[in-house]
Amino acid sequence: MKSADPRVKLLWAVVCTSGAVFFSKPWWMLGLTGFSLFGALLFGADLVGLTRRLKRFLPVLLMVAAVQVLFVRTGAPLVVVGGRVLLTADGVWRGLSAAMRMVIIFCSGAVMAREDSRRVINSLIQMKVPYVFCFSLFAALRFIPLFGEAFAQALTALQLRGVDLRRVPWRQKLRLYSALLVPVLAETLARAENLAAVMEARGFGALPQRTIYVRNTMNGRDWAAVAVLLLVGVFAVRFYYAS
Amino acid sequence: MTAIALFDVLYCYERSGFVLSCPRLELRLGELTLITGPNGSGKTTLSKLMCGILRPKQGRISIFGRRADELSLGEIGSKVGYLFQNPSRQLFAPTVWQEMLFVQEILGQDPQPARARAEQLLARFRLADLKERRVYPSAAGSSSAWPSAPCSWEEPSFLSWMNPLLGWIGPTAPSFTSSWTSYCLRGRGWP
Repeated sequence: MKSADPRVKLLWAVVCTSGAVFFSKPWWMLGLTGFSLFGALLFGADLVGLTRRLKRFLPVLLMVAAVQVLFVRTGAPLVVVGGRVLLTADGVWRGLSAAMRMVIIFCSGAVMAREDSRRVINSLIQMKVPYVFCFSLFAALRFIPLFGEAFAQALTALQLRGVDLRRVPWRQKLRLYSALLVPVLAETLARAENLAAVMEARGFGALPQRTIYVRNTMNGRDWAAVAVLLLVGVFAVRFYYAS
Repeated sequence: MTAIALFDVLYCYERSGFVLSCPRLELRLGELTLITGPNGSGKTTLSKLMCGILRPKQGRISIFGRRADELSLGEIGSKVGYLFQNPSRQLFAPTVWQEMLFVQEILGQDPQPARARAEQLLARFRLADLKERRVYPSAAGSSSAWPSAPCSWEEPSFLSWMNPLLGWIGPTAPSFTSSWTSYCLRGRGWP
């Protein structure tokens, strides 16, 4: 399914992330997490590579889950020290739910990150999404890696000018990190200005309709996957609220 | 004296599969070295390796006799001035003057000597009359004229400039040639 039409992947991502938002029952969340991981592997997402690249954000995600565990006071007490309740069943469950939600969103992101953004945009256009919105999304996706690169280079430039980040006091460090956004923001504005000029020069929006040179075609397997996903989605909602 | 030396250096970009191999390269003080090549041939990568910004997968890089991987970027910066291909990425303050003093303010240094040093550098790079000028947007979109002065704060013995002629126009133009000539005459290097 690695070469599945982007519309199938988009539908899968919508089903998974919608479930992550609406479900709150333990076993349903667990099932949805398994479904998301299975789908990500089926669609050929590079989960290991992406995890490696995003590992610096892992402490933040763990902290979000830990806050839920520690601050939810409802439910049966699980750990009590000196008459003071430290952990409750609801707290542990909310923490696990938060972690599972992040895994589901991560899986959806990993699948879409693997897909060619041009194909995704073409799919959206074929789904009658306004072209201006699709083009803006495409342009924004192309900007994201540039932000990271510009930020990393600005940080390197600053260190080459003799700033040892470990020795800078916290107060100054805050000022320093906000200053790092200056070159990133300036470059973004300059690029946006250039892009706007180029778009004008090439007659963007001159006509209300545009033709698409490359069209994505859905084959039988894609249609079958769409049918399965829709059935899974509808039945999941039906049984979730019935239970 | 050898400023920067590369021995059997190998660097590769995992995504694109591009591999840069440099069996041996020595850059000496008092020399001007020009690195040219087609787009994507590895000029920027080589330059970043020479300045310790990138770490090689194999081989050894020595900067003024010390292994590059043992030096922090701050230590390298005191010996090698590096100007990025896109100089606007190393400008953090709104005006030329504020940019000159930005790092010294962060480091909490005495303002009086810092100002005197800033004036001296601006005069050397013929930017004194432009010190209140805003660095964004710069004349050529991204001019290497503005960050050249703050990058020379520590009097680095070696300068590594990507696209060195970018943005040296109008009143700043003569300073490019005079600066590199004076660097070489003082026994410093410039690739």
